[in-house]
Amino acid sequence: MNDLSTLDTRITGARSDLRSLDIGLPPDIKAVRRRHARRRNALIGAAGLVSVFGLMVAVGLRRDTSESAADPQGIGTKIGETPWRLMLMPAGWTGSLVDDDTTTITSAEGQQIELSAEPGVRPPTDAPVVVGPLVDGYSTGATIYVERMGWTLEVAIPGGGTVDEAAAVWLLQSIGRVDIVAPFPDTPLPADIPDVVGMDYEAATEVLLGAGIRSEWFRMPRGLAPLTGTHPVGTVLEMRPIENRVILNIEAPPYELGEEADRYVGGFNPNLNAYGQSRWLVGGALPFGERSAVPYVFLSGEISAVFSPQSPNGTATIQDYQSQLNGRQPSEQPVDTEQPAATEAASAVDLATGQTFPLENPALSYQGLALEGLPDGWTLILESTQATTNGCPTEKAVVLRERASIAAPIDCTRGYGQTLPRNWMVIEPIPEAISMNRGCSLRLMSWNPPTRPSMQLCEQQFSYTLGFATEAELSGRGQYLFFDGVDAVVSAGGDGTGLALALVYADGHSAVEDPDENDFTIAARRDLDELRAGGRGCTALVARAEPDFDLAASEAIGTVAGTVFPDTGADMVGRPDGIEATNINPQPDARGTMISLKSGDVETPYLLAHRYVWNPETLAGEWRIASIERYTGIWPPPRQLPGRPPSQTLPD
Amino acid sequence: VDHVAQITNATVTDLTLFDDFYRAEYSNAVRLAWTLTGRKDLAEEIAQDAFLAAHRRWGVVGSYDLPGAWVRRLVLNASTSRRRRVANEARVVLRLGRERELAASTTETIDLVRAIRKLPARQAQVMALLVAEDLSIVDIAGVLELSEDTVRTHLRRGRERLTELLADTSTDGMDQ
Repeated sequence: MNDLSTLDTRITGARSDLRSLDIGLPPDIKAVRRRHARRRNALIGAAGLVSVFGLMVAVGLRRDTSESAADPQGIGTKIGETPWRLMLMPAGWTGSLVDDDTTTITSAEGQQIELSAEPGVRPPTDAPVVVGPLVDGYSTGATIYVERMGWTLEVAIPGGGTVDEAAAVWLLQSIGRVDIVAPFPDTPLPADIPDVVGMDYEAATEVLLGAGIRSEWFRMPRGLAPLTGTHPVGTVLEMRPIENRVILNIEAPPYELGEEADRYVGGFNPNLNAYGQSRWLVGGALPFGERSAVPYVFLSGEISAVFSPQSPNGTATIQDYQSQLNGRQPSEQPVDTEQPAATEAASAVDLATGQTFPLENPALSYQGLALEGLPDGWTLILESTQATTNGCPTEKAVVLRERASIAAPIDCTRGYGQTLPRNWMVIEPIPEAISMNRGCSLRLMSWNPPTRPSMQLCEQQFSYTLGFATEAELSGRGQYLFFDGVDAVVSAGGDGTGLALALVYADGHSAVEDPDENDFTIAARRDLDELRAGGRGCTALVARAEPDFDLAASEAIGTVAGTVFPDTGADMVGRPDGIEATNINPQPDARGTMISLKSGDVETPYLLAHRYVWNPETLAGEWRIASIERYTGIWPPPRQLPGRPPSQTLPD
Repeated sequence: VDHVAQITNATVTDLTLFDDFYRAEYSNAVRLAWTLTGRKDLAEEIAQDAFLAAHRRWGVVGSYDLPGAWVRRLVLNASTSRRRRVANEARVVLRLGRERELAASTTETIDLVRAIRKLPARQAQVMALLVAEDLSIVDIAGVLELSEDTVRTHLRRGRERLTELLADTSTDGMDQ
């Protein structure tokens, strides 16, 4: 029996053996979902980015009836415990609602974190709302005025509504905290803690501060929320030093929330029950040892306001999730919000052509633009036009253009039904009442996921093997090739004489024609989320050569590139004739990695610039390609032979 | 045994059918991930993540001709990705003698799947589908979205390499 026959026998035996293994029944998919959400959300706290950036608040919604019982310490704020939350995000992160129960927040670097709600729990009707600071609020009768960044947000509570104005203010307050949360000092509490029982909580704060104890006050209806001047607070009733913290119960009048009053009264006393009549103060360190600002998660409680961007004047709907919690339908109370006329026209953004969106995102933020639906990947900006008008609130301000050759030729339908030319994105004002700053916030709208450009690069090493094409089956259009972990597609030109390389995210689906200016076929495309779900870490660029192999012409229409992937584990199958790409070693330019695309006798060098970024998924830093540019230095670089110094003598 | 064909025949778009799909495919997915990762806990996690992804996109995935192939591809990719990450951890586990790998399997099976994990990623995926799933070349090509010729190439190379690896294992055993 030869070796292969023996192997086949072993395979047969192993197959039977594996079949006999007791895998067990699959767990309930809902339980899987909860675990998955916890696992993903836990990464948020570890990301460690918040301390670097200014903080904003995005609105999420928390709802978990079992949390109180499951959280005897009572803080109820450990990241990952609750499906929805108010969460702090670094500046530059944006959120978008993926589906009915999932929100994805995306960093400027393209990192994504997915937040999922429990099945059946209704999330906010829109993506997390990024809000500006809420300075103060006051009310006159049925109208509440909330000042925010120089604006006055007018919230009219409908008569007979079940949510009173105090609650509405609280809602706005809850979603409006923007001031940077200073971390608790990472030091032990002093031995002598002043007795503040009987003091007003503000006076107690001062006394404690004088003793070197920084204190934060939170109301604890069902989680952690900051107390501010708009909250009714009272006297310190109790003081209990516990290790490195002090918990104070504070007398406070109850909130009145109509028929659900009993559910919203008072605060949260972890040692008694979930709905005690007290508030408490935590000084020194939070119970779970969260001493940095990162894990501060402000839970929104059972009700939240959701602002609709579709309304020119903005509308907010107060949703009573407690009702839903009790088996009734959410009671939605429309709250009209009026936005004062913009006092400052939005500036047009001059984005640097050739740069990536992530790199340019700070410029957008500085201009008061919120970039929602940030395209994944290192998408180069090909074009940036001035706004047709700078006026708020409805006209588009900036049009950006993606690399025309890459995005899938699917109509990019904007959120309002307007069809845009593909690969163009529009930044337009946010019409709703809540804005980021400057009185006229804009945000990038309607990035349609199917049109994501396939330029996501996420490499982990400097050293690459570059390669194009393979054996594969070249049949008219569609030559398929792959490498380890990176799949690609090569499609032949119409006459079969040339090659157009369209290296796509991964193994894909049906071919997509690109009948426009590029005249090549994208034979595979894959949604980035799917890729990530599938564990694919890396993708590719696009390389193209026309039948005449005129690389200059190809470059002119924006089809540059190559495949980049770690050289370890590469499993490249074959090479095509005429096109090759190699990494250059040693690298002649310290700014990045040099690659060379070669087609026939034409060799074109490119420089891949790198950036070191934090990857919250792997909890590690990694190098990523930030830009690709034509190399203008000496080419080809002088070859260096290792270990041999240059000859100093003339040959005989 | 041909669950892929079954799923193909039943174009599953109804969300309620996800549960059936999940129950029918779960153990296969775990087994497949197990073959490539060697860790039961990790295999279960990978499989569950894959089904969770399918659940979330069931409206789309359920309409695929081969939803099972879609899940398998996620499992394969995740397994391939994770096996590098867990390599160091696995070494520690081995040193500590707490290996949970295929505890119910025979030594020959363990040797075989260990050898499979030493193959280049694509070859390992092809061999895993062959060993753990007993898929045909056509089905493997469908799962991996490769041509049958490409699958044959990987299969041939994988088998050749496996014989070498297993021969080494056998030699090592004799040496010992």
